[in-house]
Amino acid sequence: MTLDHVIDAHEAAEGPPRAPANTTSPGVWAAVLAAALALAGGVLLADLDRVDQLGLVRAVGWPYWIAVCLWGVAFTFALRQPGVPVAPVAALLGLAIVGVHGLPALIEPTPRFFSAYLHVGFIEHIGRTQDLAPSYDARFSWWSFFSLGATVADAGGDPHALWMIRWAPVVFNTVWVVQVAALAGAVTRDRRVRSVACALFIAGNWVGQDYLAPQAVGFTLWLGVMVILVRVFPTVGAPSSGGHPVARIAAAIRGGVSSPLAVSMSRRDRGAALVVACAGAAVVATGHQLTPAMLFISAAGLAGLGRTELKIFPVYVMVVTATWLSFGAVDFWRGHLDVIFGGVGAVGSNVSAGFSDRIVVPTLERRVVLGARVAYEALVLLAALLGAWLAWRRGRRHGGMIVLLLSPWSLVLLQSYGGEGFLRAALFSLPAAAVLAAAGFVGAPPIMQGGRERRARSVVAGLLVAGALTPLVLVTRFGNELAEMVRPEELAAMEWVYDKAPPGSLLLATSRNLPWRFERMLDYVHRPTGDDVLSDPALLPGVEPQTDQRVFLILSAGQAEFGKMLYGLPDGWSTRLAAQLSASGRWALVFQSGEAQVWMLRDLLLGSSAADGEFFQEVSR
Amino acid sequence: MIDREAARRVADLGACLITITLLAQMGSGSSGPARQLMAVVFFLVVPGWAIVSHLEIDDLAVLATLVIVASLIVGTAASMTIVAFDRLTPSMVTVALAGGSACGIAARLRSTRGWPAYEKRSD
Repeated sequence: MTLDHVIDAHEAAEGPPRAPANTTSPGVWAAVLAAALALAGGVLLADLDRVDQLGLVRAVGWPYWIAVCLWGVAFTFALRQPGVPVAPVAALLGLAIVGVHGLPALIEPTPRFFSAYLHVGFIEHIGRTQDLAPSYDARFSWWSFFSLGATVADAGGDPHALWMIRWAPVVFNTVWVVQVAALAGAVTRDRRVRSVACALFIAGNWVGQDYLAPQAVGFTLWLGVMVILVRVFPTVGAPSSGGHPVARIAAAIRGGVSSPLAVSMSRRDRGAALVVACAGAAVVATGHQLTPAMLFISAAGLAGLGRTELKIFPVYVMVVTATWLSFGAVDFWRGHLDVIFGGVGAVGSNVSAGFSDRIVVPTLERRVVLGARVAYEALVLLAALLGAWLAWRRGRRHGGMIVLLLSPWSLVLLQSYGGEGFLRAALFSLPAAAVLAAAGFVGAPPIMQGGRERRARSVVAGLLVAGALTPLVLVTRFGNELAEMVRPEELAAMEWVYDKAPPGSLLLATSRNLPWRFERMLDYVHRPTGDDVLSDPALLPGVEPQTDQRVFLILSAGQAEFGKMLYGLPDGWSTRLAAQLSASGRWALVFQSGEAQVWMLRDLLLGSSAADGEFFQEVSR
Repeated sequence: MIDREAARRVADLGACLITITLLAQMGSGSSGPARQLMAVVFFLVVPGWAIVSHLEIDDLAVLATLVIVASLIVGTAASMTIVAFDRLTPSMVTVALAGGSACGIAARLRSTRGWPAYEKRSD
């Protein structure tokens, strides 16, 4: 027997976790209620004019910080209760999700983030036409999420899925927290550890991949499959077979014995769980480009190091992914093999795309935000590794969690994914990081779970989550909010365009940071679809329209901030661009609401038909 | 044992209520946040519950994880048919999922043979 087996047997011998107290201390519920009321006050007193390059920190009302303090107090009290009652902890975790990840939904009048609007466009297209357009965008080759979105949007009574954007982060984070609680059960039955792991996940999720997107559903399925691998089919390392390292490694690869912390299930039910895992992998393969690779790497790591019984599962993931690539995504890879494999081996450029390229920015505040993100992620990883070390010192080896912590980062070394690989790796390693940190810092051997020790660790956990991490996550997560929030006038401008512009029109913007392409996306030509930012109208793409093609240019505050924030353009660059457009005589302002403007190219109208003149009069009105 | 089964009965009842409410809302053509909430909850929980409730799992978080994952799998697989078969509309898919889920829940209820039988077994 290895030490793992001894320790796991020890914990298993504790029997099921102590039943939660029948009555929770009224003080805990009072603190929960007070925190909720203070959060409501912070939201009511929020001022969007105070949103700046540090995100939402200065925008929330002062009661918000009272709510954070009360939350910390309530969480500490709840952890100190005998048996850690489920209801107040669940209420506190829900409050944290709404207070952090639901904050924009609470204080901003319009759903945020331009990419979510784009995904609404895919959903709207599939729902309306029941057809794909793989030549239009690669994402139509991984369309299962969009078809699900179309069905849900229709069931919700509004096939135009804009209504799904606002609360998507709250829904996804709630689901993920449940899954993290399940994952944490692989290392302990201690409810305090599982509760703290959930809280750390909420506070550590700065990546912002929880918007209405295929990767959010992909992450949900990935995490679900990981839970099945390490909870339903776990092994706890191999029996030691001698002193030679090679022999020990070989024994580890052969696999160990089933963990006593495995979920108790019959053979038939374990078979059903295996079917769910296999079906989940198939859906992942059809929904997102990167997640199948993450699934393969994580499953291979667990299988290779003897942490799951399902040794052949990674092979299945590879086969099902290759099958979808061969039949469902042919239109994509036929012309993009360099995109798929171009980053393999280019470790240096991949790392720089994820790290250093993100720090070359113009303003001090921007540097603070991006530096804070890198530091925050380093802190998360450090806390996880330190937690693993502390647990190891106590005789616990959480090998499976370490695999899940480190394996996502291997993908960054192989494929930059346009620089977003860093963000994805941070997200996929976060559940294991939260579990390891919680197990290391809050978990304790049974002999130490006495009153004073438990109280001290509970206080540390409450202070850590509420006092330190919540303010930081508001900066790291919402540091782009000036550009990523959608002003009502921006949305009004785009709705005006889609109402007035005839199909086939060329729609120009200075960047892709605009809530557009959410309606009849194939009926218009949208440019740019990349990160281009233009400060000179002479550089505007596509100003030579085809015959009978209308050309509209949309300027907005979000794009102005995007140019300043990411490209270092000077203050007022967008205003000067508008002045240049006006002075050129080629463009006419046809819509204005706040800082959102729609300009129309007049070239075709000069000396053209009466119908063109009437159209111009119509849109100018 | 009785407590766990009682909780499952409550979940069965909740899943049925969600399904019936959503179908009623779709039938009446109503719209708004209530229907949107019901649609999201239905696709996150009900199809998965109709399957996973047949399993005996002693960990609530693992049970919830399997329910959500199974719901997403079934919902996605069913939704993909709207592209594969032009005659199927999203509404038809939702109604089919609701019917299938109701059958799954009914099958489980039938297999446990109601309250008296369960109480007798636990004795």
